[in-house]
Order: sequence, then structure tokens, then C-alpha cells
Amino acid sequence: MPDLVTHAAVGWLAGRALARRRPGRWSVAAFVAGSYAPDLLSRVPTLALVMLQGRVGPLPPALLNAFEPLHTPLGLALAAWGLAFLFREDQRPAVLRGLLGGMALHLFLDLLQDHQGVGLPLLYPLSPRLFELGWIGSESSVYAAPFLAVLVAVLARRDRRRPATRA
Amino acid sequence: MLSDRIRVPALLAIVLALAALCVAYGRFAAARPVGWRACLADPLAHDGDAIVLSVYTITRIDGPDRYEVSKTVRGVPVLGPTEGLERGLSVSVVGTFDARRRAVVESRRVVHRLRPVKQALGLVALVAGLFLAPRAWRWRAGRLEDRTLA
Repeated sequence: MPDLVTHAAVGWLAGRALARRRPGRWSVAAFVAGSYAPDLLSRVPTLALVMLQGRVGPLPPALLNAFEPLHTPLGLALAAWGLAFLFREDQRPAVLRGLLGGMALHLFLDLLQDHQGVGLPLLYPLSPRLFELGWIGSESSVYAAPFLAVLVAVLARRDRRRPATRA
Repeated sequence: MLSDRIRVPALLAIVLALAALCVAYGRFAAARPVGWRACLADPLAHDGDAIVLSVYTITRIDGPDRYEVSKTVRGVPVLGPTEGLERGLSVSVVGTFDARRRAVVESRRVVHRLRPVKQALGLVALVAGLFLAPRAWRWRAGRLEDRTLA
């Protein structure tokens, strides 16, 4: 999957574009959070367990694989719905849209990568089939990350100076 | 769907649904009749099976033509040239299972030399997110408030 800087930057750019077109309907912050979410909810806990396994010995395989549904459309949709409830009621629709948009964008970017056939179980629980497009290498995004980060910084600074068009 | 009236039962249902999905997937992944664990469980039946080890970490190098990789599965022996490899490096290996030698015979390998850079970027993004989150959200009257929404 692309690095998290790339995910966050692309999420911010997409969320900002949508929020500027339809003010009030899209939360940019939620879009960025949605871009983080699949890895935060799935990869980080798995990584922590793998590191723990290195110290304490073998852990149950079922536990090590348990967080994968939080990197699938259904699991993420449920998580987004739950996270939206943390917000003020009138903001929940925009937050939910942002979260779902960010998550969908994250999965799309992950699909682009080549993991030698070990793709994403997008149809889980309906099917265990794995999907990947394999168009770019798994570390290719690190070359784009610095440029994307600078672009976000420039645009964010411009937005702060122009409150009328602030996303 | 997002009303405060259904907030508590909806959250309970969501947590239960996610837990069920995760438990089911964990069991499915552990019992899958493919992969390294399946090969070890019944080596003769899986002799020659294709195996893909995606982004594993080299945990041991045993001479010029054998090394070990680990990830969720630990200590998978791989038969392949070790020139240019070192402990801690991330690799993806495509190969076949050799029942006699209880190892993966490598046919293709991808070395992920930029993996540490990617991991560092992940850390940067996490720290940036933690720093910027309070600017985007605040806690008020028991609910989060999104400041980016007008």
C-alpha cells in the first residue's frame, strides 16, 4: 500500500476539492481521517501483534489475521458509521461522507500496487477472492510523498489566508 | 441512520458486527488449506504448491543459498541465493513448497529496500495527524465537533 503521507495528502486534496464544490456536505478532516483509517484500524494492530510475537513467541494465527476485515469495504463502512456517531448530530452526514470517501480512496490507492497476487479481500465476507491491479510497486509512493506534502502545505496556507474559500 | 435516538443500539450493533467479522476472518485465515501453514500440516499433499510470501522480513541467513523470513508466520525457510541480502531486509518471495526439504524454493524475489523509508513516512504521518487533530476537532458537550465544517 502507499505510505501514509501519500494517503493523507491525497485524502486532503480530494476532500478539499469536494468541500469547495459542495460546502458543508463534505468534512475535509473526516476525509483525511478516512484516508488513515484502513491502516490505523487494520495494519497497525497487526504490526503490533507481529512485534509482540517476536518477543513472547507464537501467537494464534486467527488473532494475527483478525484485523483484516477492517481493511475491507464492509468493515470500513461499519467503522465509519460508528465513528460518525461520535460527532455532533447535525455534522454526522458530512463526517460520514468524508470518512467513507477517504476510506474508498485509500482502498483504491492500495489496489494500484503490486503485492505479487496477495491483494485485498474487497468482497469479504461474500468472497475470499483477493484483488490488486499491480500497476505500481509497493514502495513507489515514497517518491511522490514529499511533493504531495509540499503541495498540501502550500494550499493549506493559501486557504488560511483566504477565509472565504477555506475548505 | 445517524440520529441520536438510535445511537446506543446502533453502536452496539456495529461493535458486535465488526467483532463477528474479525473472528470469522481470523478463523478462516488460520484454517485456509493454502500457504505455508497448510504445507507444514500436510507436506506431501502440498508438495509443489505455489507459495507467495508478501513483504516478509529476513530473520536469518543460513549460508549462500538459504535464508529465513518471518511476518505473521515465523521462521519460513527459503531456498534461494542470499547474495545482497541481510537480516532485517524486507522481501517478497514467490516460489514452490518442497516437501522433502520443508522449505520454499524461491523462483522470484522482490527486495523492498525502501521499506524503512515507507515506515518512516508512516510515523511522520501519524505524528502530523496527532498534532493536527485538535485543530480539526474539539470535544464539546460529550460530542466531537468538526471545525472544518462551517
